[in-house]
Amino acid sequence: MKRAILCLVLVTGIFFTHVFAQNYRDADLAVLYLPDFTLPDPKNLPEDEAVILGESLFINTQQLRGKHVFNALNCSSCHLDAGRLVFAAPIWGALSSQTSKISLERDKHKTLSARIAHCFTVSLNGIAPEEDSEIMQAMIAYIHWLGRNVPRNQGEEDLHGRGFPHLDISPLGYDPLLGQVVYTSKCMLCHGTQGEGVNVGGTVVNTPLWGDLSYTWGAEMARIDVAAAYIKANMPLGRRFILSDQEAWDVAAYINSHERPQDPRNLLTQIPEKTAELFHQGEDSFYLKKSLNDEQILGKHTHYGERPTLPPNP
Amino acid sequence: MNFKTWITRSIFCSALLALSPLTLAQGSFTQLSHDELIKKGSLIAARGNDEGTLACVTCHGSGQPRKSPADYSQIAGFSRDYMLKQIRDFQSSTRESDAMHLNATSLVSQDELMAVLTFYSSLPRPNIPTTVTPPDPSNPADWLAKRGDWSRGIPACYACHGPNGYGVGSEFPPLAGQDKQYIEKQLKNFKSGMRYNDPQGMMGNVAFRLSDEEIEALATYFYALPSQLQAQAQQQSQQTRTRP
Repeated sequence: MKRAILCLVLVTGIFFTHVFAQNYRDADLAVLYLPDFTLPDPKNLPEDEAVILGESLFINTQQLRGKHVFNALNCSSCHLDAGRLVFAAPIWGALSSQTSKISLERDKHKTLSARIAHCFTVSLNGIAPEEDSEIMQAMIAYIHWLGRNVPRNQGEEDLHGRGFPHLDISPLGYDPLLGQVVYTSKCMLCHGTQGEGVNVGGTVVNTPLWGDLSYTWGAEMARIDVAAAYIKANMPLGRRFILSDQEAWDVAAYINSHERPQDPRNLLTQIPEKTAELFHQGEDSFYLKKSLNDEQILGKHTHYGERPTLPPNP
Repeated sequence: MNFKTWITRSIFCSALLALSPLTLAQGSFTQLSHDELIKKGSLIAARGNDEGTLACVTCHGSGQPRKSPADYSQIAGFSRDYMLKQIRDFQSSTRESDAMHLNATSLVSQDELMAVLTFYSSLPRPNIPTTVTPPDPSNPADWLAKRGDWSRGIPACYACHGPNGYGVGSEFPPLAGQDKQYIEKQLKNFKSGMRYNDPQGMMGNVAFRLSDEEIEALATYFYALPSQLQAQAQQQSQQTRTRP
């Protein structure tokens, strides 16, 4: 019976989003797309080689493929508009306080370089550049330039557009099977039938959502609550907030109930159960849970995609 | 099968059913081989058919770049599924064009329709490189194409249409080398809501936010893009050649 109610809600949801989608055209653009403070003009980069390199690395992180990056993602795949856009985890948010909004207490990242390194490890399935390397310093320089007007030491709720918008937990929970319906009708078009994304002549156009070339089990995006909030606020591209909350929850569950590269931190112990205990406690994800077809336990493997099996810095 | 499973599956099936016009059409209802389709298609494209479909090449050409821009799309090398969707939309007037409505509704036979589409999708496309150079801040169209303007909610053109407007899959047509007047007209139609057959309103949403000046600038930009990219490539190869 619960399923039947879920279905009904989903269908009504789809119907109403179609009917009212047009209204978002009249929504106040400033609230949807701009932060409270002034961001520096991207057409006017300073004549500082580090900032220029940092921006280029941020937009085209694939230039580090095979060296620091071992999947098909760029920083700007998720941090849209070169890390500027509100509600798409803008990177200037990192400067307002030093704790990440979505990171749990146990893996608080104290310094900016440690947080960038964390992204390289879990999201780009990569090997982070050294702290004093040209690459790391360039990315830090770019973030500091981008966030130079950010009000410092703000509470998490005070800064408009930081992280993702809050998405209430649905009283109906989430259902990957219903998510499959949403995926088929609204996401497959760009992200492919197998979540493989699209590349044209080697240039990644649409991000792979699961499989070897996507983010790892250790990525924040592998968590259902994080993915749901991101999808609600940013997908389909350019049409933020048109999906219903329930659609966002269901499709996030569907995407994150597929196999993806192992959390690189598993290389420290090679025991997924231990990794789950150390890094995934209390999180809302399918890590070490049954797959949709009940045939396997997700994430219970030592497959690291293209990444060399070199343990990350703890 | 219990009730819950049944209801989930039926929802899923109805979603599939909604997409079936596309999937069925890709199937094998035609008896003709690929080569036969191309041959038949080239004849219809050149002469039209007996039901009233006019020759396609008159407006859409046969792959050669036009000297002066006109208000017709350059469809050589387009995705077959993309063209099929547009033909279906012309037939049902979901996409409005008097001329194309007549031509599309006169393509009665499935064989003929698939033949023409297969012929056009088999034609070579302009040779577009897939590496993108950094945007030029002084060129607004170049900036919109590569970076968009997110302060107004506009994603980059290349975010969906691929690097240098190469075209992606069956929903995002190639932009590079398209006729200036065609792009301008389509963007304006999307903007006014006259054209609305885009997936999830993604194009309409962008066009709505573009100013008329930006639309004109983008149309000019994409029309000139293939020759511009070619000039860039030549310049680069000369530079590498002159280097010792």
